[in-house]
Amino acid sequence: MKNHLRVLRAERGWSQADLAERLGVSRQTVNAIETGKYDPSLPLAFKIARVFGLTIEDIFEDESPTSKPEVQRVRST
Amino acid sequence: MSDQPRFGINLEFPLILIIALIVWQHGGYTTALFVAWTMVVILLIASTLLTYVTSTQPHNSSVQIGGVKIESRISPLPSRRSLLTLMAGALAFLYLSWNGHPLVWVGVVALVIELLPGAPSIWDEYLADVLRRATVQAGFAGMLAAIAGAILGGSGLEVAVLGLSLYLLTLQFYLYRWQRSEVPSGDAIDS
Repeated sequence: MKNHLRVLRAERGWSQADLAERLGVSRQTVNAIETGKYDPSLPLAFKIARVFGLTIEDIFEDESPTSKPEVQRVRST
Repeated sequence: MSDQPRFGINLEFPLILIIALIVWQHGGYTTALFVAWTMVVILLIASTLLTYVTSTQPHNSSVQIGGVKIESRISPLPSRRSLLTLMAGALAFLYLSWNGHPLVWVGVVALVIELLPGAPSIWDEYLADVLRRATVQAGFAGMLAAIAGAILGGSGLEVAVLGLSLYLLTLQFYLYRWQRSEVPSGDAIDS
């Protein structure tokens, strides 16, 4: 899953450690999410969204190639 | 911290008494065997608890492996009790490795690494995920090591120590990698 965490963090002038402290997780976790090695749980994703004052969709993007066509197909049937 | 599940077994005083009695009655070799088997049982209980914790209570728990204390309470070193237990186990393994159980050397390595101080951190979902995957790999490595020990004709103690040591060493390796998992510009603000 693609995310804009690094950019959003940079815009606010926060280090990974700063963001980790705000989220109550380790710096390794922030790093793993930013580098795409780990997709956060839904509660953590909501927490991240709250910290940045955005919605989850503003921060995370579903990269799955079949997700949108699938939805369209379901809607059309 | 009151809601934090913690697992600990305090056996040192009865054990010290039993060890003293065995030394007095049967000498060093039997004592080392007793301590080594006790260590094997402790490691078995610890690995079972770890598997239980990582599979059922991934958050707000406390587990310590490879000198890395993983809990929200910051503590740079294993507790004095843990250090003494591990040192006694390492000494028993060392003694036995020179007295008819050469494969037990692997256990000395695993316990010495366990004695090293690790950087404290906090338990969170990513670490729980890393540990969950690591326990599967560690179980596999431990099983292979035990089979190899049996094929090599090791004694029951050697097979048990080999299996548990490789389990422990694999977890230690994963936790070491987790601690070092930083990109060079990882902490940069404008990266």
